[in-house]
Amino acid sequence: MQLIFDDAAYNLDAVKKAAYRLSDKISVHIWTAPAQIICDISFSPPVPEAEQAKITADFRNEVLDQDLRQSIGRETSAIRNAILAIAFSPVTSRCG
Amino acid sequence: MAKRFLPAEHYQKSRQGGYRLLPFRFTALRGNSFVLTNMAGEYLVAERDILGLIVRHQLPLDSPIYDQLKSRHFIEDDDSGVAQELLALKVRTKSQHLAHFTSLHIFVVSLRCEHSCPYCQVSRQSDDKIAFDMSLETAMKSLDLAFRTPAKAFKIEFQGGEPLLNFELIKQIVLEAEQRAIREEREVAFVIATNLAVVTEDILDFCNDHSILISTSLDGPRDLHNQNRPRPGKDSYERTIAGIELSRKVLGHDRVSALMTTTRFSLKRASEIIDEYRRLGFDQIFLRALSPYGFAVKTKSINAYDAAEWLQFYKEGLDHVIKLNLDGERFVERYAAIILTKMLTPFNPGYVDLMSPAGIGTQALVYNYDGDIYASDEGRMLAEMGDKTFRLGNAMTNSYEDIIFSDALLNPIEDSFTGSVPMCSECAFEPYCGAEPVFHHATQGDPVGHKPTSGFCTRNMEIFRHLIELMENSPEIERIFRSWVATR
Amino acid sequence: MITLQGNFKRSFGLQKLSERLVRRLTMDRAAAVSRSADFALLLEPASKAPEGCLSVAVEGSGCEPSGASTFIELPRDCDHVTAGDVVRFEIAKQRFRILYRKNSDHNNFLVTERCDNYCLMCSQPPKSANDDWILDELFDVIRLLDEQTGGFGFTGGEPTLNDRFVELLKLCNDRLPDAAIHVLSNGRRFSDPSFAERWASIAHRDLMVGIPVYSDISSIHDHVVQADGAYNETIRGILNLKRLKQRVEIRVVLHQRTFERLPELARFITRNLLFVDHVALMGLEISGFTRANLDQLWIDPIDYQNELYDAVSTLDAFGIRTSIYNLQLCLLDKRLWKFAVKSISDWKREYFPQCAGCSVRADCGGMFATAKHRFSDHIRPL
Repeated sequence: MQLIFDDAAYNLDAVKKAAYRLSDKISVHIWTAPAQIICDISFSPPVPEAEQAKITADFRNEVLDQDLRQSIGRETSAIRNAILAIAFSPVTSRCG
Repeated sequence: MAKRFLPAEHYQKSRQGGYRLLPFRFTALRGNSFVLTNMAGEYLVAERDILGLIVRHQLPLDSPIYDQLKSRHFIEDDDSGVAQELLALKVRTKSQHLAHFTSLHIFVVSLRCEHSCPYCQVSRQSDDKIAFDMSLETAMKSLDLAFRTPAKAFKIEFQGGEPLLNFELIKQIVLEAEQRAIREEREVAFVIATNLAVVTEDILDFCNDHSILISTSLDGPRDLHNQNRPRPGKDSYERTIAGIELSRKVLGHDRVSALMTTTRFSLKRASEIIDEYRRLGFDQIFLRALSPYGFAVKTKSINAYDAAEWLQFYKEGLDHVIKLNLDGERFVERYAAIILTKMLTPFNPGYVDLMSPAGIGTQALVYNYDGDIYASDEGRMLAEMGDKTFRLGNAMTNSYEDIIFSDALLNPIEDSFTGSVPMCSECAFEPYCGAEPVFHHATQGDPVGHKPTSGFCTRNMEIFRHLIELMENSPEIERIFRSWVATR
Repeated sequence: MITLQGNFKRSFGLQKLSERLVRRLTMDRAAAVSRSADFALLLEPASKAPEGCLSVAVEGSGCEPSGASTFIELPRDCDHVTAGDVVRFEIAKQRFRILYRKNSDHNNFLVTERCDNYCLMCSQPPKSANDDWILDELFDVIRLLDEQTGGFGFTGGEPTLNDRFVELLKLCNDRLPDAAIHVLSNGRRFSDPSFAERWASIAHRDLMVGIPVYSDISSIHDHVVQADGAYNETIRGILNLKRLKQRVEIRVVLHQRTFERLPELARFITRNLLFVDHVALMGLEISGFTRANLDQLWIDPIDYQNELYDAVSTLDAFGIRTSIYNLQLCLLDKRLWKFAVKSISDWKREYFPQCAGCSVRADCGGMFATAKHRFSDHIRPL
């Protein structure tokens, strides 16, 4: 089974993370061609075709989800660091 | 003199400027719905399309979820001023246990035991006290190390084998620890994890005088318990019951608790096991998984089962417990309660197996009968099978600093930290879960493991999903769960 | 209703007195004369006012002025006054106000009528004129109280608007060791760390500040209190107070604007403000601004019992001390009765005619005298 992602809409990290997450069901050979990210999917353990279609759909959704996670990360990583810095700062009995 | 009253719309002007995301993670719940969690472990459930709108800043201001997102600090807008400050405080509260550091000190006072449970990782059927009992010298050196913990209040738990076979040493440790606690203005609590087969009234009198709690093993109804826990005389169950009764008589009902171990024989009998606990006057049960170590691995054919079977068992048990609560009987499932503490309260329950940074060393330390010190109980069991990866040192030859700063401890803690490893770092359930370096080392060969194929991960994610689904579908179950984690 | 203020019924010989006086009533004639700047003599029935001090009597007690005496007679419905009460007399206006009642458990001192909120349901509508004289007078009042004086409260307006209020609390701490003090405040001033620290420096042995938080959502709270940015300042104020280990109560008035998200507010408190010392959930008082905003505010309490039960169970499960004020037992979900407190001050508490036959009347706090303007359709004897 082969899936091709347009590299203008998706990025390699998202595809790799999705592959990792589903690695209990599939093993994915990821490679690139101009403007494309190509995934050669093999199913391990082997499963019937209907199941293969479902897993492939899950994989596609997972790539989208990873993309969404990256959006959240880009927007919030600075705030996250700031909050952690405050949370772990030394305790004083003064306020402010 | 009277000013005009302004309408609600005036005060919502701040929303017109759009909202910003606060840090959050999401993971699939079921079908098209997702669990979203913030940095403090508060959660919300949203459908995929709504999630997309939220992240792309396209959520309509009048969407019913807008206020929920704002209230639980998933988004902020121009009048959210205090949101980040509150989030930071919540993260701090969730982490405050870290400052107390090791608060559970397990003393393995003897490996000797008269039972021969197939799932037991460590015990020895032997009378050789020299070989298998902890010596006084070792005990005192271990106590020195235990008292080096920063925690003002901590617990000493006596384990074995069967610890009551070396009760003389337990007495000496308790008396010495109490003296030191007074001198150092600290609080030390004591528990003995015992099968109660050899308990006597004298032993219990001492326990009563020193407020020592008893934790015993009760695997279920008589036939199941005895099948799991063979001993000469085939009377483990009878002795346990008698031991519980006697202990309660001397110590009081609430000072005796029971833990079960799950074997293949338990899997279809969740409700029966729970009803046995009820019959014996317990109002809680801990539906535990079996760790894959020691005799359990050696006798694989008897005790093998996979995550799916165990989950079935767990859900059946939890279902039975919930029904009891709906009928007005208070009965708590402890594993759910630990997770629900993380989901519903500002606090961290401090349960060793569900902590990140891992609870090995940071929460618990094991002082073995021979002076060897292990990062956790499971680490000790691995050593019994020949794998000493989690041996941190020896009480007779190593200092506290040697042990706490050893690579054997620090490396797995750092490597397994769920905030930075693949899949965990982006998982919405990470605040509820833990880094389990010993389990993953034992089953997959390294402290991080491969989460997609990890039994620990599969099992826990399914429980997290199940608990959240139950609460989403029933406010009454949510109220019951809240009563389980109540602080009053 | 107990009368706390009004006009003199009769007076005699007041021309020597200054414009406004505060006096503690005593039946000890010698004390009244020797410390005439602090005390006024409460006359025995059918007696004559002596010279040398201000004398006070109640209409119908048969007391009379004499010769060169100074005499004020209060109207008949003030027959509850007793030695130990503290009263303000305004001479030119011929008005009196009882500021402190010895026999009451519900003494509250108004500190100012100014406020930086403007709540839709404010029972003490704010005025903007400078009224520092009220706070100044309170220093005199506190000095007139017995050392054994029990608890009382400070309200407003917003008591913390004037820095001298902290000094007044210090005075209370110094002179009145048995007095537990409860201050009602919108909490916003405490968002200023230096004010919060000055508050903490009082180191009062038993001081609690009651701060309203009306929602988990800032815009809803700000709408109720009619002030932009109030919510953030209030929450910051609570956090600052708690950093300094001060005791804080959260108050929520239950009405149309606040009942819907009440369970969410309870959840918010348990996740963000778990350290609060008390939560008071309060039935609506139909006075002040409430009447002008009634259609935005009124909801029959019987219609929000589900939300109330949900919220209280959440708070209670987390060990937060929770009380329900101003709601009648016939309207309250039975499971909530144990949280109900007889909170309506004695001087404004009343019962309806149908309450006469009620089996739990003795345990019920009754209703506000102002309830006659709008009340539940479900008040009934149990």
